[in-house]
Amino acid sequence: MLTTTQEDILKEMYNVFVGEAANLLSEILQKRIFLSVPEVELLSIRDLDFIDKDNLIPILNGTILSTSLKFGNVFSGRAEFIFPTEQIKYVTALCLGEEYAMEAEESSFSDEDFDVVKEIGNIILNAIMGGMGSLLEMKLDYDVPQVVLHEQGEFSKTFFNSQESNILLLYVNFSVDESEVIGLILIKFSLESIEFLIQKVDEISRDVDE
Amino acid sequence: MKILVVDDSAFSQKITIKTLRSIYPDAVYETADDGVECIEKYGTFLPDLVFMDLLMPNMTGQEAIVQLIKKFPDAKIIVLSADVQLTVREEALAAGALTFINKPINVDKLEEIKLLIEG
Repeated sequence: MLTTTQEDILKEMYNVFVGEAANLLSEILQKRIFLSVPEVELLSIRDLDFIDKDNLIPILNGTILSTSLKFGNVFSGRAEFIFPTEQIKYVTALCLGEEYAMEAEESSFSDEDFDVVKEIGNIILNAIMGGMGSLLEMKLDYDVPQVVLHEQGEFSKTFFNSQESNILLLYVNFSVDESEVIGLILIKFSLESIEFLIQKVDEISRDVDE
Repeated sequence: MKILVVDDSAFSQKITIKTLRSIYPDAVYETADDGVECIEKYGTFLPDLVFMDLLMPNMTGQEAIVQLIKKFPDAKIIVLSADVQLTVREEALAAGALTFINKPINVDKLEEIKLLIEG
């Protein structure tokens, strides 16, 4: 359970890193990006057994494409940049500077779509995790990002199926032109990393109070 | 001028070359998908400049920089990476990269590179 102060500091830190990521995304898409208020949740394994995963983050119920970036070593976990599939063609067109014409059936994706999602996810997630690494004065090692297409509800099943006793969840929505959500960022940390992060947050809190 | 763009993302290769063309319209461009292909192509293409991503399968950019500098000490390598960590930047520069820029690439960043190269 996070204290109000810990939650507030974590949200504020996350907000700064996400703000930088949104700036980069805006540069890539050549569009104004709107952010939701970041959410922070510490879920215990007991919570994970009982929470309504389908309604925790509704966007995850649909078919989604995700870029997954695993990071380690002492501070480890997995960051995900998630796109609802109905937004992929729009995002790809924006990235390539092409006209977007909505098609009735957009259920298939090209290698180019996957590649664009991977590269955008890589840039955005690096901006956020790099910021966190700097704050923690720690170098993060990354695996090559992976892009995976998840059918309805599949993502939640694997993401929330934790071997760890807790999951710290940070998430925020991105949208373009104040319209549909085009992306969502989720970060899951290992148990040791959560303890480490909370220690750092407590240090920041003490420094502020001094 | 000959420029080799090394990146595992075809999208990123395309954007990099498109942006580079605004600064070097007459350059000849070649691409490589990872560090291994970069080493292979460098010897035959003999580029004047290499734009190198870091996080790639088969051989990372860091490893490729070390190997290239060992074989071709005058190689001019510019790292183009999403990784914003200071230590990663320092490691790349220590390995022999000329400079380091963060993705996404844009004309302003390239103008600075051009100044650095041309003095």
